[in-house]
Amino acid sequence: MQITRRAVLLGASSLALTPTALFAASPFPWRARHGMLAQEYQATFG
Amino acid sequence: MAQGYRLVHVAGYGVNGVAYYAAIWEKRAGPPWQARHGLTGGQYQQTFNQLSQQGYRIRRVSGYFVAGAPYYAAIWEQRSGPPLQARHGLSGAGYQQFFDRMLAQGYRLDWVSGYQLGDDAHYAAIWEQRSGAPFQARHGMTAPDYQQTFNQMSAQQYRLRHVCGYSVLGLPYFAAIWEQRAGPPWEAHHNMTGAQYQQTFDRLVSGKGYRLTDVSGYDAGGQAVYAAIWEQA
Repeated sequence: MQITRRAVLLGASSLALTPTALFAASPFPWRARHGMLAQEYQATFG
Repeated sequence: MAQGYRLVHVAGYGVNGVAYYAAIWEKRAGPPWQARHGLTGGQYQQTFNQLSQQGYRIRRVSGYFVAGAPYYAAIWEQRSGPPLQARHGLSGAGYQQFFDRMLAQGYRLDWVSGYQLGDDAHYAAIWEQRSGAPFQARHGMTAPDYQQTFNQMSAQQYRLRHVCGYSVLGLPYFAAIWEQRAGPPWEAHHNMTGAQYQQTFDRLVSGKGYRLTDVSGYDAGGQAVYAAIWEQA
């Protein structure tokens, strides 16, 4: 186990808060997303 | 989300006056669930009361501060379980007081979410009256405090079960729960930019077969940063 201490990057301008869909196989399939706007999050409920 | 996936985690966070969400879904069987987001404190309480009457238990709650106001996102599951207590809108002192009271009554902290309300940190949390591995919880930690506590806990074989990063007046803080138990390998990282989060995700998930178990977003200087925990699947 480990943790990295990262400096908070202030003022970085290249970050795009675009939703990112991610998927991985595990004992059960799962998905994760971040940077979703409210309507994008709402849309995941179908 | 594709059919069969159930929402198991949600974190709301405000950046530059806009609400964003991070979430985890799992494709597995389980009890009926419901989720809400963008709730005011009053709406959250009302929903909590309505769903409780229908046999739903709160599983996750996330408080977040957007454009000067607090909001809540939460997940409920319709199932039985041990006695449960949930509170929101607690000040740091109020949270500590209630935490101590719950501990004395045999409750353990199951979840905590920190967020700005007014000019101060406030907390929403869930306690369950059940036994389990020894646990420790901290809140109001600065990044150096969190790192130091993390190192101390790791030395005592405590695993990080939950971490919530939150921003108050533009400064990052952390609330976390550790459990002293064995388990698969895991990693936790904080203060990751979106790009760093994605890189770490890819390294651990695609590269090592880990799965994401917890993620929270918070504002750092006007951009979203993330704290997250991965565990070997």
